[in-house]
Order: sequence, then C-alpha cells, then structure tokens
Amino acid sequence: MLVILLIISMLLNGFTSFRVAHAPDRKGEIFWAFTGVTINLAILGLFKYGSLLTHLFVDNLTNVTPGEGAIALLLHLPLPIGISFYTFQGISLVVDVFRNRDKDNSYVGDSLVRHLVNTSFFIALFPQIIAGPIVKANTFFPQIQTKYFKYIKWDIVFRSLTIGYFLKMVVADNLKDYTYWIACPYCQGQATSTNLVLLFGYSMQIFADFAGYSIIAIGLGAALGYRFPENFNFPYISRSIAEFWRRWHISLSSWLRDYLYFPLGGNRKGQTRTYINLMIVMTLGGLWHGAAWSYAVWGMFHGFGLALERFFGLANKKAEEQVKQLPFWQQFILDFIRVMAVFWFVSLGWLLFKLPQFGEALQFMGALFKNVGKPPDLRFVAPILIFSLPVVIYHIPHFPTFEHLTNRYLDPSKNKIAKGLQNMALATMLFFIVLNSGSSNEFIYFQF
Amino acid sequence: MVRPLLILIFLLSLYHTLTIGKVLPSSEGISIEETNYVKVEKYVYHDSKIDVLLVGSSRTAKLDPQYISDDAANLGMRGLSSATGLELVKNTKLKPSIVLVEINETIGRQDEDLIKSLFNPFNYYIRLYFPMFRTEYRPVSVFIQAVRNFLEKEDIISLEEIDQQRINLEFRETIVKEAIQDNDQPLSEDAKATLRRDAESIKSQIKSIEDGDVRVVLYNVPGDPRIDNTMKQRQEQEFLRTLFPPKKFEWLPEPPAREWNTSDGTHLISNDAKVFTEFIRDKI
Repeated sequence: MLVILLIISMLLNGFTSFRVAHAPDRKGEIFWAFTGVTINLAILGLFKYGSLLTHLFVDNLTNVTPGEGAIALLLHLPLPIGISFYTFQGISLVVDVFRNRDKDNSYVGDSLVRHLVNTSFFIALFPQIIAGPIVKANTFFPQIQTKYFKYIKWDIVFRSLTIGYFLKMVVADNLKDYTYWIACPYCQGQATSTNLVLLFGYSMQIFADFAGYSIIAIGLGAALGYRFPENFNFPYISRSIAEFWRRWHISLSSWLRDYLYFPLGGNRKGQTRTYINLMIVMTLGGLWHGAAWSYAVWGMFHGFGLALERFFGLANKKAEEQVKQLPFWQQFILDFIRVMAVFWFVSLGWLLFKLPQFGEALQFMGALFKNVGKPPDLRFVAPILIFSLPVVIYHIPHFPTFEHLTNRYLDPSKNKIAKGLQNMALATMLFFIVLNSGSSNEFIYFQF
Repeated sequence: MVRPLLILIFLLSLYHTLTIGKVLPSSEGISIEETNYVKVEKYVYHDSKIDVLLVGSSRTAKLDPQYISDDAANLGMRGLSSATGLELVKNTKLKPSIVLVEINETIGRQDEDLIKSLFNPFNYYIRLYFPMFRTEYRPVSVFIQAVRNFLEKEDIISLEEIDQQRINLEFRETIVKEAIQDNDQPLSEDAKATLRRDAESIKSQIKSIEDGDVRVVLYNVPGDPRIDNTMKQRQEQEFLRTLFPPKKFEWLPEPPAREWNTSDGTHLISNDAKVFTEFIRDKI
C-alpha cells in the first residue's frame, strides 16, 4: 500500500505539473496547480494527521465509538515512511512549474511519458526519499541527463560518506545509549548537572543523526552524479534563532519560506502580520515533523522565539554591524553568549522531540531545579562529553568570530597542512567507524 | 581518498598490536548494552574453566562473582534475563561446573539478535583472531577505563561510599510506591500464561545444559521487602515454584530474612549485593 501511495504521488505530480506547463490559459494553469497541491496536501493530511484529528474528534464527542467503521480505520492508518518528504517535493514541482510558467519550462518538455519518468525519478531517488534533503524541482530537473563515470567527484563521495557515517554510527548511535536516561522517572533521581549534560547530549545526537543522514544522502547523490542541497550549515554556532533556521534543516526551512511564508506575505505586510506569519509557518513546520500536539508546541516555541527576537531587534543587520565594530575579544564574548543562549533555547525545544508527552517534559524541567547540589554522574557525563566532542570540533572552526581565520588557513584546497589534517581526520573517523560504532538505530527523522 | 585509507590501515595495525600486547586496558563497558556485550564476549571467548556461572537479569548483574570464587563469572545482563545466558552456555563447548539461574518474572527476555551476532561466523572469527573488534576494546571505552583505573588508584572508595553517591532516597521512595501500587493486585491469567510459556523454554535450555554434566541451581535475588511482599510478587514466586518444582529442580535456599536495601526497589545496593553473593557462595 505504501508503494502504491508513492506511485500515486509520482503520477499525480507528474501529470498535474505537465498540465500546468501546457495549459492553454491562465485559468487552466491555476486549476491544475491548485488540484496538484490540494491532492498532495489531502493525502498527507489523511495519512499523517488523520489519526491525530480523529482522536481530537473522538475524545471530545461522547456519542462517537472509536472502535467502529471509518473512525477505527482513521485511528489506525499507517504512516507511510518518507511521506512528508516526497509530498513536499511533489508540491515543489507543481509550484515551481506554475511559477516558471512564463519562463523557460524546459525541464517539463513536450512528452508526458518522459516527464512522468523524470518525476518518478525525482520523487523516488533512493538516497533522499526517506529523510531528505527535500530537493526542489527547479534545482533537480536540470540535472537529469546522461551521467559519465569520469565526471563523478569521488573525493566528495568519499568525504561525504565518511563524515555522514561517522556522525550517524559513532556519534548518534553511541549517544542514544545515554540520552535514553532523559526519560522520567530516571530524570528525577539525577543531578541537575547530569540532566543538563543529557540534554546537551541529545542536541548533539539529533544533529549527528540527521546531519549524518543528509550528508550520506549527498554523498550517495554525488556517486550517481547528482548534487543535492546542503541541509546543515553548522547550526549550533547560530547567534540568533533566525540564523539557526538558516543553518538547520535548510531544505525544509527554505521550502517553508518559499512555499508558505512568502505566499502568506512574509514580512511585507506590517509588524503584526509578520508575527502571525511566523507563528503559522513555525507551527505548521512543527506539525510537519509529526502528528502530535507536542510538535505543534515545539513549532510555536520556535515561532515565539523568532517573534521575540524580531520585536527586540536582536537579529537585524544593524545590530550585527554594531557587533562587528567591537574589539575582537568583546566580539568573541558577545558571540559566545549569543551562541550559548540560542543553543540552550534550541536544546530545550528538542526536549519535546525526546519526550513527546508534555507531562514528562515538564517533569524533566522540574528535575533541572531539583538536585542542584548533587554531583554529576560520571557514568553518563563522561561518555556523553566524549561522543559529543566531534560535533563540537566540527562546529568550532566556523564560530563567527574566527571563521575568517579558518577560511584563510584551514582551507584544504589552498593549504597543504590543512589537506594533511583533513586526511588524518578522515582516517580517524574511519577508524572509529570500524571500531566504535554504536548499535544500529533507526534515523530519528525516518519517523517524520 | 588513498591517503586516508593508508593512514587507516596504519592506525588499525597499531591498535591491533596494542590490544594483543595487552598494553591497553580492557573495558567493562560504559553503557548497558556495551556492558552486556563485554560480558557475553568474555564468556564466549574464555579459554579457562569457569567454576560457577550466574545467569540472569540486571538483578544478578549487580552480584560480583569474585565473592564466590576467582573462577566464577556473571552473565547477569541488564534488560535481559536468564534465557540469554542459558542460550550462551548451550552454544559454547567449555561448560561451567555450576550454573545458577535467576528465576523470576523476567525469564522470558531473550535477545536473539545478540546471540545471532555473536555466533555469526564472520563476527565470531574476526573477534577471535583480532581482539580489537571485541566490545571490550572499543577505543572510547578503553580510554574511559584507563581514566577510571587511574582515578581509582588515586582514590579507593568503599562500597558504602559508592552506594551513598548513587542512591537518591526520594527517587527510590517514589519508585517503590509506584511499584507497590502496580503489584497490589493478583497475578493475572495472562501473566501466568506468559510465565508458563517462558518456563517451558527455560526448562528445555536447562535440560540441554544438564545433559552436559552441569549442575543447575535456581534462585531469585531479593528486592525491597515492601515490593517482594506484595500480592502479585508473592503469587508470582509461588507460581514459579510450581512451574519449577523443587522436587525436580534444585533451588537455592531462601536467603535470610533481612531488610534488603535497594537503589530503586529492585536492584540491591553494592553492599547488600555482596552479602547476597556471599550467601550464594556458602550455599552451593
């Protein structure tokens, strides 16, 4: 059934985008674009949110019996793996063709069959079908052409696969054995410092897990001659929440920006409307992650953070320019404080990913203030800090204050010592993949 | 691409030399899963006779076999049960003289993946000839073990101090209260059916081990008396005795009645685990 759904998505998006490109008039273009987007959203809504909404309905109406007929079916609908990713890709195809209708729509072509084949390839390309990056039609379709072995960039393939598998198998899969203890009631017995380290570890784990997958997908794409967009750009050195969203899950945040935030009016319709748009986009972005209210709350939490930041002007260009005028050490301290503030804000949000039950998340928050004087439990703290270290080292050279130094002195394409260091780092990562991989665990983002 | 691979070969060769040369300390495992793997791998690759072997769950894992004898070993595994330990004993040629089997509600928890992974020919032989691939030689765990060994040399702490550091009384009482509430009901028919099914499987494992001239003794590790004396727990123990009747199976005598102290209602604190292990030593 899940494969049938995937085939439906390929046919639906291939057919409607073709009709948009070849509609005789504007009405036809709008009709086919609207049809494509609506059916995509209806399928996503039914399979992903059907159960959540039915629960809401059943829980609040006493005369509805959950165990019968259509209601039982809705409550037990399976969640097709990767549906959030390939549905968004499908929508991007229809919308991109619609937006480019006056321009050169060369990637649609004149043959429906050819376009259906290309669309199927675009949607079902194996490295990214399950957990992204969400590839946009206008960047992918032009790449569909005959590939030659000699043009494959093997160094990128090797580097991406090594870094990706290292992040997933060594960092994320090992950290999961410790971050497990975030769960309650364990959290209540642990020292505040231990709980803080566990939360820190979970932030590192979720990054390593998802960034690892994305980098592997990029490597596999490169091995096939395709370039997928970067999905992460050192998110934990962000100095504002807005910057975090420009660095974290870039393919989703840019999708939401291009296909939701801008169409809603973005920031061009006054302050109040901007805040409302931010909250709408972030709440829906939260719900995209999963059919549970905790994800919506997580989205709202970020939306609220973005709105507050905007209200106080913390992330605007003027403030950035003022910081750049400060002496180096003052800039560093200020950047450090801002990076830490954003990191802990984001980490607190991840709590809702780890503990989707609000009660448990609140218990954990309470536990943070409970055992303040108790010494940290080194059985958890030491491994978490060690396994998190690669993520920290991965981010440090890109810390805002000295990123320019990294670009000047640590660019492997310009500097032999840097190239040697890169080779050493890759060999060390392989060494740990061979000897220190954790037990296999499903990618966290597979569930979305 | 070639240079990192050459460096990798160099690093692996160096590490292999350090492990077979016993320069690196072997780790006891730093996570639950890792600790379980270290134990089972040590058991599977052991080459000297084991006198007494304890198999069971995390309750047994708390018992230090050194208090029984220098040739005793413990296959008590957190999150698992006697079934996994017995399966390992069944699959290895060098059998211990006595196997002590923990019998309680956990008996059904068997990790088949662990067994398959251990005896998969590729994994088995690569770990046999290249010990660096064993869990006990994972680089991060070895590093933590080395630091731990260094700190322990500097500062030897008693079992009482370990208990004091790790036990949170308020947390323990919360857990105990919840457990008493959960166990304040009769043993359900479903639970009985599950125990019956699990017991059949354990019995066949015991039979196969006993055929190899191994003495098998059953026992249970005491927990917090307030939980052990609840209706469900008592009925469970009685029911297990009917499934493993003392006429057919050798049971360890009941441990002396005392206030067994636990860290969470179920697992004995280090000091009481020592007392119970010494009790086992005296009775077998």
